[in-house]
Amino acid sequence: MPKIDPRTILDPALMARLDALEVLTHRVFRGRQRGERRSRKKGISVEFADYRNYVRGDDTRFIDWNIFARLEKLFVKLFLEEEDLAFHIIVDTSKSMDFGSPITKFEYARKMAAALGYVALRNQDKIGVTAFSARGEEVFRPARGKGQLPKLLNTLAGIEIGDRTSLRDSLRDFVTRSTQPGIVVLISDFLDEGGFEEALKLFFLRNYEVYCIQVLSPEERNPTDVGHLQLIDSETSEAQDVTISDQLLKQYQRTVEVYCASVRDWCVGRGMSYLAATTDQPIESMLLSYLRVKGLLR
Amino acid sequence: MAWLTSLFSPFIAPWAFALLALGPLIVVFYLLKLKRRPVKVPSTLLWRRSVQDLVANAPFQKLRNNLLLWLQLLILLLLVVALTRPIFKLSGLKGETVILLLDQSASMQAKDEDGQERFEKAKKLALDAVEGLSAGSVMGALGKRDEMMVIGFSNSTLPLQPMTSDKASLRSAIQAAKPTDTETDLSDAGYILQERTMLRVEGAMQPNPDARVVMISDGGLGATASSLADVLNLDYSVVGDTDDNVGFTGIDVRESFGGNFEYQLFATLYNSSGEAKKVMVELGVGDEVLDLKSVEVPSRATQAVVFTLGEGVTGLATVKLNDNVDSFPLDDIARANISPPTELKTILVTRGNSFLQGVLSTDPRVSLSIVRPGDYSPRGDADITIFDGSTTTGELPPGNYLFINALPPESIGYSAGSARVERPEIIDWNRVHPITRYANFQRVLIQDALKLEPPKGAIALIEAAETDLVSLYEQETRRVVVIGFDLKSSYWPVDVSFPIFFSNLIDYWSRSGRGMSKAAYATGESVPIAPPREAKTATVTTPTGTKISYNLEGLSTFYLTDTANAGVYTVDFDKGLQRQVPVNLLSVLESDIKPVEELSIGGRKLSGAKDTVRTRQEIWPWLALAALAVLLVEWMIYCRRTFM
Repeated sequence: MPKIDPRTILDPALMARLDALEVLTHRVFRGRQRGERRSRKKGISVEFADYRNYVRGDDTRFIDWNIFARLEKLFVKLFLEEEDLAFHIIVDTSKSMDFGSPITKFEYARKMAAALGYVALRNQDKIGVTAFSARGEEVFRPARGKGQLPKLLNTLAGIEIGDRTSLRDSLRDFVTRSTQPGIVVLISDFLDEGGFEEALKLFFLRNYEVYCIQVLSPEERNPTDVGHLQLIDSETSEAQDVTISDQLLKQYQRTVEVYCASVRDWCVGRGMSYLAATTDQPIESMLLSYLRVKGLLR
Repeated sequence: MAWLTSLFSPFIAPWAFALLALGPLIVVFYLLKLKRRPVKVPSTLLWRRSVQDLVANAPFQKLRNNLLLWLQLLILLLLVVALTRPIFKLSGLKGETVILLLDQSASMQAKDEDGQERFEKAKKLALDAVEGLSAGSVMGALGKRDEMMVIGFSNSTLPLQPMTSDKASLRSAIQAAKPTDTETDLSDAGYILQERTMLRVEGAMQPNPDARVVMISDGGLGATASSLADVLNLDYSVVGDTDDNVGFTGIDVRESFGGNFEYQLFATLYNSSGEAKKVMVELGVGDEVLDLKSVEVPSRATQAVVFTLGEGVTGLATVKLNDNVDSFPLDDIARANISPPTELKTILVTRGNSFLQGVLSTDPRVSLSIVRPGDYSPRGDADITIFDGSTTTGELPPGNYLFINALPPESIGYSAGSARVERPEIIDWNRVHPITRYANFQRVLIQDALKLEPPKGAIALIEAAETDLVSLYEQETRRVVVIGFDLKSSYWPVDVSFPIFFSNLIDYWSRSGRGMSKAAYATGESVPIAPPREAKTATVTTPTGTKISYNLEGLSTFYLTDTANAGVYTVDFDKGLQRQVPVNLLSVLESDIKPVEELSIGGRKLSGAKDTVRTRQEIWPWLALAALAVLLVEWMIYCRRTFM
């Protein structure tokens, strides 16, 4: 894949809207460096740091109604924030990602990774990007600060579609290398011959807060090509003869729904967040609405 | 195997069904020939799962739902069925070589409930069949030109129109056909049909599949229908809808043995309807009505009626159904001759034989004169001459002769062995001959007998192991009976068979003398007529008024053969003598006018088409066209491929 212009990855208008966001974590992670966030570590920080007064604009979901009942004052439950939040973005670069319209699934994943990276860098979080191929290769080593943005964008622009990938092998390499816990955002189509369950279980080895974003193209969800076809797998080059009838089309759509639902149920049942995206959905709305609802961004 | 034959009977070439074996081949080809368009997809993972789900739920669903495969199988089926040359039975004829069998028997004169004669209906159907012959139609263009032959059948089978494709000739032949008064007899139909319906293949005769026989009849065919058993393609159209008929099926006049000239007239009636019928039978002689009897005839059965006629009644007796209105009037009347008793001049040449004299003198027909052997001289006016133990020489004048224990003159042809046969034992006698019927000769013992060597053509009436004991030899003008033993050296004169034999013998000679052996004849039967000795010519007037002349020079008997019409045939001889010959239908087969819907011919069941000419029409060209159309549709669908 030829290297593209890094400036096209992130739209300036989107950047302006992302300025208001920050990465949120629901867990306490022990950071290695002092960050811009207020520390919630016990013994080091201010006492009673678990709550603070409610101010207008705070998320009402975090108001502690038990305290309000006792004291008739609004207090907001504060999440413990690390000083130095490690934010890992893993992008699937397998050949199956090189499909889709209006942009390919890979393009979509890259733009999303750039936007999330921008939010993290702007908030002085440590961001690392891993390209997900046969080896979970780390293409952007964890770094902090808005100054790293050009480098991040350059790196993202330089990622190319890899060869055959195995989700499990890639994540094993990633988990082995990235020992610092934090937030992991995995952007993939989860179409892996080896299955996704064994691979995602590897995240339990570290105390990650995991977000799985499954990107599919509209053609994958609702294919229109019918007739006697020989389907060739882009990754394995294996041929599958199918005669696509209306009946088979309906069966395929059901299979896609069941598969996505199985990924979602597996993730949610194990404390991971799941988000389904289609390449024809605007990235802006995905970031500004869906990911905020999921609690990744604030 | 009969069911197999009937299963494939609508197909001319059922072997083509073997081509159905190509069906699996199509399936194989279908699976092989699929040329798939390669399409690169991100992953085949979900496609595989989808296909597996479909296949797991219904292993043959893909095959079943494949429209193209089914269309191809349909094409194969259509082509295979077309190759079997199936035939449809349709109104109207579109065959190749058609032989039309038209029933002209008497029952075709019956009038059905709509008042129309059956034969007219049959003619109309035959004309329909002629109109149905193809001439330049699609079918005609693809096959041979249609031909038809018309054959009429009643008591004989005669071609009415040879094979032709000229419709005008066929129409005029059918229009000219008329029903007869005779009984159906198809026994000679087999030979005529064989020529047209059989093919000689490698020396063996085989049914010709391209020839068809269409029979239009009311179904009263009788046992002779079996001659149609070899006809492969036989279509049967049945006409008629009524069974309402009572008619005469037999009549006879017998003289009673009471020693006087009394007669009894026997008649049998048949009722073909489904219920018993009471009819009044009227007996008349000449213009005079003599008797009237009420007879109940059971359903589909016969009933006899007997009239006793007094002395002196002679002439043509007529029995008819009084005030009977049924669908078939032809058999409502029957006629028989009651001949006037003729006196037989009889010369007995004997030295004295009380047995003979006794038996002859008690017969009222015999006018007996006895002469001694030495006093005998041949006389031309004697009807009967009996030689008892003696013979004569020279030419015998025309007449009837009986030689007892003596040989006729050499000119007759009898001779005898030198030694007599001692105690010959009777082993057989002719039980059907008019002279020896009704008698049992088993107990007759004979001391000895001549070893007779009869001339060629003589009939043995009573036989012993070694010789004929009683022999009959008939020349044109002489009827000679020889008894080879002496009556007095046997027990025969005291046996009951003795008077019966002589009564039969005189009756036989008497009827011959009257010129006819039966009181009445059936239509189609040959009537032997012995003319008076002095007659030279005879003119026969048939019931329809046709006159036929005969030259009688040198003939002792002539035969009236054209008796197709019921009624009285009048024979006028040149000397002013006249005889009347009654000819009646007398056939249960024809009086039973109930239409037969299903014929049984040679073990084959043949159901008739009611009031319509049914025949086959080949439909293979339409099947082939349908296959082509389906092929086009299949091709279009394949091109679109959106229905798969």
